[in-house]
Amino acid sequence: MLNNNHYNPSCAFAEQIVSYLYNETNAKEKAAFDVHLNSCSTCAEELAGFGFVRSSIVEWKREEFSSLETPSIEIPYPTAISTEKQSWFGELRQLFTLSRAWSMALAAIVVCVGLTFLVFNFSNNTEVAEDKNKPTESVVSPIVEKRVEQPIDNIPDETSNQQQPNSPDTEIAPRVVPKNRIVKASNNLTKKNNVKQNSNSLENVRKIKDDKNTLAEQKQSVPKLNSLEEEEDNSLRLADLFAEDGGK
Amino acid sequence: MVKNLTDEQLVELAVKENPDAFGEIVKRWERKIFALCFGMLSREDEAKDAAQETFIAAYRNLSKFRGDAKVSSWLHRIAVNQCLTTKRRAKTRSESFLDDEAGADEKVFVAPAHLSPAKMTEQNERLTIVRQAVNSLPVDLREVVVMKEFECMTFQEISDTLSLPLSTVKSRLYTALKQLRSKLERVSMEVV
Repeated sequence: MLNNNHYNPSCAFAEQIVSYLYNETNAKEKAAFDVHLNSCSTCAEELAGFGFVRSSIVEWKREEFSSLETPSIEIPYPTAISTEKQSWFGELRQLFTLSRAWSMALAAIVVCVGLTFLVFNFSNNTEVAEDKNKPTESVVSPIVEKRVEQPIDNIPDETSNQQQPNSPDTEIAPRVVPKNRIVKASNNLTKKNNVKQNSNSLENVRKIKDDKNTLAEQKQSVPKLNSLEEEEDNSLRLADLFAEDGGK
Repeated sequence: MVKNLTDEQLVELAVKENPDAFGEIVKRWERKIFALCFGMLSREDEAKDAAQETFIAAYRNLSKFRGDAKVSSWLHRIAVNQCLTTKRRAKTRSESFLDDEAGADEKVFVAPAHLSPAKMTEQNERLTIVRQAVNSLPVDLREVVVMKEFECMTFQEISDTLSLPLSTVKSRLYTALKQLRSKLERVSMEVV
């Protein structure tokens, strides 16, 4: 196989053709090759052919490259490091001196943080507004609530106490005279008025006591609603005193 | 101050992050590197990009530069590799290599005004043939031709830059010229 990297083996001067073509031979070599060219047609022909190739490349370069401007090479240098020794004040001042690019970057960061904060706050506010529309759960304990909602004049319904017999509310709730007790007292009053009208003697008082006993018996026959009913109220009553005074 | 320093001394300074030193290197070699890239790629835009990338790559790899090689050799090596990368990318972008070559042939250049249209056409064709012939050379032969013709380097400089023996450089150039002559004469006979 033909190896193109070898010079023309037929001529000993072939190696010098390239040097002669580009005029990189010394005077002695040049003179010797000039003499050889007169006698070697192969080298002369090759030199002419190479000259044609070279002139073609030179023309290409002249027409397309020589008129082109050298591009301006931009190297992304890092921030310049000064080798000069600075005073401590200069170093401190440089520490707090921001370049234009850094200032812009810092401003952008601040704006971003601010916007994020605003957006975050806005979303929180909308959540709170949505929560406000929902019914709020009372923070007040049931006991306090009952105290607030239950005025002293209102008489508690005994059925509610019956539903929660063991509730601690019954212990803490303010003492209110039960409704049935008032009814009982009013009954007593009416009856004692009758007694007042009918008799002034001790017998009448005994009679009244008997009536009380009968009333107590009747009361025992009535179904008990809660534990409060079981307690016997033996406290001194104003109506009884009036009845006694009236009897005297 | 930096103008009096050698390339190697400038690199030493540039490693110490002295931008003036590397700026001087760029100043010294930008035209030659651009010429090398143009000769290797035959396109102005690609050659500009390759030259830019060459110096950026050199700057980023300053610390890897070993003092046993010349700066010119180092820069040329980077530039040739950059040109090969650019060529590969262009080849990948185009659907086929033939389309790419056809695109390169379509390059329009402004001929001198004194030439007649017929002469201009003839010149365009001739230049296209030369460009195609140089582009068809193997890379090792092409870089020697481009260094010799576009950068006007001596054989010794090419030898130093490519770290090749002087005889090898001459041998490669001889082979390249022989192949070019063969191609150009063939095309000229076809045209005639």
